[in-house]
Amino acid sequence: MRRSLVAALMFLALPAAAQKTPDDYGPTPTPDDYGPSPSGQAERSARAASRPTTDQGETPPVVERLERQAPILQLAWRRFAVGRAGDAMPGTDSAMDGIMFEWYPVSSFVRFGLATEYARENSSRADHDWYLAEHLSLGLQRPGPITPFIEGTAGAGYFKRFVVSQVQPTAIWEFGANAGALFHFSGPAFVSVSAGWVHPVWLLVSVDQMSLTQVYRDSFAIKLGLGF
Amino acid sequence: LIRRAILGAVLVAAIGCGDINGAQPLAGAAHYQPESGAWSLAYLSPPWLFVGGQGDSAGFAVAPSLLSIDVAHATVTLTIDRHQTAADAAAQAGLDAWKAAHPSGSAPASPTNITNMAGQMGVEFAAADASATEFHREVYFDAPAGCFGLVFEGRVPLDTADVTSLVAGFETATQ
Repeated sequence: MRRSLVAALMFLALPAAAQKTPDDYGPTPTPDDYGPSPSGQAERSARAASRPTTDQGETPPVVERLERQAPILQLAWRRFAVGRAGDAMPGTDSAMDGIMFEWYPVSSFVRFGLATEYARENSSRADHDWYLAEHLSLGLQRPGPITPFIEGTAGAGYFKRFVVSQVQPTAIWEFGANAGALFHFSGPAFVSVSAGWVHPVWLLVSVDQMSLTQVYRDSFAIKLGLGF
Repeated sequence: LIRRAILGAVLVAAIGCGDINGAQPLAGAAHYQPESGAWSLAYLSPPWLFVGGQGDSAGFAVAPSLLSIDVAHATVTLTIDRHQTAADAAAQAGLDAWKAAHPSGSAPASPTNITNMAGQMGVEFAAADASATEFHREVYFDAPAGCFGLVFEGRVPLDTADVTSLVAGFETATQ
């Protein structure tokens, strides 16, 4: 009986001895070592309690942080018809697909942008015309989850045409206007859709007549973009 | 920055909005007509260059490059001549002659029809030699007396929209 009592006392005493922190483990941690206490939660609860309530007793939502909802950079594709001077059917096979890299240094309710565009003829011809142009745009927009905008554009560049397999370097400039909207899907990220009108003008040099001719074209344009 | 952008846009606008509507057929093309007025041709220059004309005949060429007038080594030459036969017969004779000279070349079995911008019906064929390095195309349009033939010789394919546009700009006088 006595032996049993001693064994029971030793069994109860061992765990306490085993859980004692050895001296070489360093000082005993304090609550500060585990980071700040969740006091922010308490402060938020206090702020919510102090907010004004509606007639129905509901607390109106408070926006903690405003997201930017105006474009800064955009990569876009657009399609329009630039035409083909001297062609019997200038509207045939004259669609251009352009890739535009756009930067908006001013973007609030007013937007001002710079765009570099590379466009290539979309046709079944063996040689494809292409151009490289720089555009300026100025417009108005209403920042929001859906940002509608309207803008005018002007640009100029180098147009490399091929006629009967001969390269025809051509100066080109262009005016336009378009309207559309940005649809924000994740913070400042957006997709954009717009449509409008473009008015490209080519400067043709007539060798036989030693003259300069400006050939213009009016075309519908559609543009899709992705940016933030 | 906005002020500069507006200034730039105004400067660009001052350059011009264009003289000729490019949506119109053969916009910006030059015109040639012999003194007889028997035919006329609208052609884009460059690349087409007027080489010379005599009577109802004329020659045009596409130089090897934009900065060249070396028509002796032209990429494409065009010769326009009067023929005494009807367009159908002239085209068939031209096709037969080409096949006889290029037995291993590729050519259609018979000429086909083509219409110019004036609505006149012509007859044509396009062919290429066996190595596909020399190309040939002939087009004939009826005239009040006989027909006029456009004979193309080139080092690039000639059955293309660019050459067809030139053909469409050819017109014979109806009187």
